[in-house]
Amino acid sequence: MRCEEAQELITALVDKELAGAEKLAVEDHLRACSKCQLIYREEQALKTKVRMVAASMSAPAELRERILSDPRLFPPKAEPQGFWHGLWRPSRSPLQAAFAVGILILLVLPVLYLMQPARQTVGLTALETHGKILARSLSLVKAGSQQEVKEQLVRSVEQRFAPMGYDLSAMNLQAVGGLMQEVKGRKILVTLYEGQSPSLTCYTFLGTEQDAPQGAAVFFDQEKKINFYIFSSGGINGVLHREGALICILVSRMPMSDLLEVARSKARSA
Amino acid sequence: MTHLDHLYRVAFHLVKKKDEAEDLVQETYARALGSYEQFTLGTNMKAWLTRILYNHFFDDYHRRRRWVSVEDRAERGEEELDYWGKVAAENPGPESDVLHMELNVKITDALGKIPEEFRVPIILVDMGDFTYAEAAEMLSCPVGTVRSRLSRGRRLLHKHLRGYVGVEDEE
Repeated sequence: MRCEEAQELITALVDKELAGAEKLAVEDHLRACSKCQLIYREEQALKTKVRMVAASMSAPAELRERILSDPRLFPPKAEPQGFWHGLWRPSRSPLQAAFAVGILILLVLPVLYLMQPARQTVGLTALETHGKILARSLSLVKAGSQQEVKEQLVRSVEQRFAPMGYDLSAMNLQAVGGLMQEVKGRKILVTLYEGQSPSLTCYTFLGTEQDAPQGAAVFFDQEKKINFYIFSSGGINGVLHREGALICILVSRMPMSDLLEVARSKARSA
Repeated sequence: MTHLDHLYRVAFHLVKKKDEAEDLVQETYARALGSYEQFTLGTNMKAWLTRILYNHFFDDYHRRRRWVSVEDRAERGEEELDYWGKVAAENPGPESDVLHMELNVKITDALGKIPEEFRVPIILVDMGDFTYAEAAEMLSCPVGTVRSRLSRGRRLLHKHLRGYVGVEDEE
């Protein structure tokens, strides 16, 4: 084996990524070549030093704070935020901070994953709610304008988030009222649009795409880079999409193609 | 349990700037949360997060063609960059360098001077403790490419660190 041929194999030997004939060949070469033996030892030393540098570098405390204050990661819910902030205070030890990240990654994500069946009911609940609203079995907060409806709904969730507002005047639909609905402890803002087209309800809440019912079809909008989840039940159609930490579900008896077009035309690009 | 530190290290050595590294890590977590349904429980979450981070880095921090290699350029008839000669000229040795510079600062600085194609495998394998196969998957390249880039990257790094890292450190 020539020294030039041994270079890459030495690297792999240092990384314990070599086996079989290649390993035997380079080990034979090293026994016979003092120059390559020196290269091998130098590369080992270099790797050790680089690893030491890596081990000495930690994420800055302000990055931890930034992540904790990111509403995409931690929706502004009182108790969980306090818990996380408690864990992440800069005065806490790096071990505790690392623990918090570990909890985020190793516990929260799998829990969210496992919670899918429970959260999937929100999409179906929206369809049921729409039916109840049309049947007038749910009382709405009536208001004179879309702005008034919005203001009342925002107050009902302590201004933590606002309902997504849609100008549907082109479809001769106006916001005529709204309500705040609680589903499994989560507050959902509902706005009713009525007019000459089939009525439409818009649901806004903090959630994820997992709130779409199981089996919902997914439509990816190439232009806006957004997934739209479409589903139906009893002749009522629903379209769900996410904008940041907020989920919007549009529900109506209008044809699915029309409803999807409304959602797509109004959604903000990801 | 130290994924945040790990991601920050990778990000910092990729973008070389603290603020941009923090942005990159924050966006990585946001993207991970947004696509957690793609994560398979029981698989390597550190590798999954690192892949998200690298993809975001690649997409948003530079849009050059992935893995444009020295060999590729040579094949296209372009002038091959003389990295080795350049390094030798820039690094006359410890006597004329900052004598009391901390070794980790020196290594960080030296890493930053290495072309990205050679730097990334060092970040992933030496700093991130990933195997060649894991690094290859993240970088969408063959394992052999990781090995050759790593070999050349280490030689380049060693030349930058001439006089600072040697076998005497191990003895």
